[in-house]
Amino acid sequence: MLLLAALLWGSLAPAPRARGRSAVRVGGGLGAALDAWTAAPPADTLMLLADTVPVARLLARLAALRRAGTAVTWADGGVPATAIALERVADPEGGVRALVAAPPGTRIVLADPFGAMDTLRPAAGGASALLASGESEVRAAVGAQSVEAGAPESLALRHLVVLGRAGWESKFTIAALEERGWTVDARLAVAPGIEVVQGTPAALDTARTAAVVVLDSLPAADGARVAAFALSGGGLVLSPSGARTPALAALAPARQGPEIRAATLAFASASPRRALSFFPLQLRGDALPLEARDGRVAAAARRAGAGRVVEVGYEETWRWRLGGGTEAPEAHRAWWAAVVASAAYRPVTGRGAGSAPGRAGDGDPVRGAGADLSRAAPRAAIFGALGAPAPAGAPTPTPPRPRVPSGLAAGIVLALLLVEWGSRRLRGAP
Amino acid sequence: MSGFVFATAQYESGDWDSAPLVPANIIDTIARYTQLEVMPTGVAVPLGSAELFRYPFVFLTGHLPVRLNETERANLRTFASRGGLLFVDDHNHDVDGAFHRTCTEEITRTVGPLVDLPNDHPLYSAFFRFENGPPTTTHELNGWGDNLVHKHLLAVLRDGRISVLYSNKDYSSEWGYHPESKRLYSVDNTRFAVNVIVYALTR
Repeated sequence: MLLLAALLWGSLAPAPRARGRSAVRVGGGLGAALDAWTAAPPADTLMLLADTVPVARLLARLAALRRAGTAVTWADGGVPATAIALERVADPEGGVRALVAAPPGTRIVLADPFGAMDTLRPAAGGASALLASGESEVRAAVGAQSVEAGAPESLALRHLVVLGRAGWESKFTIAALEERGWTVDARLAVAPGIEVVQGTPAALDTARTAAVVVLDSLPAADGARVAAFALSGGGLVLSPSGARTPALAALAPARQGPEIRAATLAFASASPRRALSFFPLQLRGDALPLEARDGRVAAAARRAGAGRVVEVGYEETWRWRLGGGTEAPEAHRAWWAAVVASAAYRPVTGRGAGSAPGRAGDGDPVRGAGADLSRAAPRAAIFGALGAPAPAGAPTPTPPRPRVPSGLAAGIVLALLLVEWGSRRLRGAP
Repeated sequence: MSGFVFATAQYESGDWDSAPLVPANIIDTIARYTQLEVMPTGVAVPLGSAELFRYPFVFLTGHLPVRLNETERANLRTFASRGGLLFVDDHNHDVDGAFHRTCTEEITRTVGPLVDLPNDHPLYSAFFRFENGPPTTTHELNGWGDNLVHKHLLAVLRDGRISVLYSNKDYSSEWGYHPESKRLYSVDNTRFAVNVIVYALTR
């Protein structure tokens, strides 16, 4: 009877909070387990055994449980460090660049809502791919883990400004960029006090100008204006001569070595720039190489203040356009477009431009990925939601076994007692 | 960086070298008025050679009929389409001369139709300002040749840029003297050449 009373009491009284630890695997009924936990927490410590990151909805529920007082931890069962960011390329011809972080040696499958598009093999830090402008949602799968991101809707392109002396390089660079679709303002020195001016190159402001291309050494005052523009967020492209402008030398990604003559006279389509002389670049500590030739850096980039600076080692790319094969003019245009896109200021409009938390800022791909962190960078999201994983070797609880509710047990015992009592009455037993 | 090189076109037909003093005179003028880096001597470049693509500005003159071969035509077509500028001057002074007829026919066939270049075109203000368009030459004014003052230059335009500039004002004679003789002129008559070169380098 005492047992019966205890069971009855137990069935009527609120269930006491269970003690101990419980564990569940991602993909092993996490959703159902969370439903059960919501009604009756089985333990005061929950451990998630994760080899992939739960979908955003479940991760949010775990984070809510954690905030409500349940100690939710997780064990890293090899969640791949993947992330994706999409950015519109600062190029009038458009394009979306997908930047995917993934462990080396893995295989990245890029897909849009209509199916697979491409496969990438990440190098040390990841891989990137240039996609068509129409792509708005892209998914990258690394093993069982998928990451997804949406591209900013549009990119408001400003003007380009080309500064230098009148010459073939300035003429053909402007031509290439205009043919690509850029609006180019230019100021080209011809004689002391005499310049050929195109457009309104005087106003250097990110509200109007995406990037400045400096093709020759500039007077000190102009150099200071261009440097201020770059530090305030504008893009800056420097030719070898342009990088020798004293005010701009401090912003340049590299120092120049002695000029290396062209390796060949033929602009072969596979490596047309081998027919151009160039100044090899010796990178500063925070610079990144963009292009290499024969083991030497031919183009590099770095951040300077809020802006980006690209330095190229070529001084006479016009020879490529004029003397190359049938594809040379288009290739020359595309190359200059890529150089400028690497540096250009990229304000975004529409989706991704707003001030909502986590929304993309001024062309910053990492912040762009933050629009939906759990989709774009799930490993970072699980750290954000649940903190660091439990140290390796920490005891891992076994998943909870089903328990018989105490109310049901009391009912069964009571029923058995009633049967026993009835049996005794029928038999006349005392 | 290598500087501007004054290149004279060699073509198989005709007398391509009829104005041998012009290059040195124009080079002197460029150096005199601008700070453009200019090579001290000009070059002669065969129209049928790949060398043509090392010189985005090429001067072509002569008196005799111009008949280009297929290689010359193909090169000239590519040269113009990629942004080169061919400056042609008719060294004759005669009406409907052989050079004019054959050369304009070749240009039209190879590059495109020649049209009158308006006298307010940016070419005429690229460096010096020529309010009335192309400067006249003594051969136009002294009654020699066709006895006409040609009011316009002709041009083939591509995307608003001049690909071929054609003159029948005979600048080849007007500018064909030794540079030191400039001191004998009250106004330097080669100044228009600066406009042509600066335009070629900047547009």
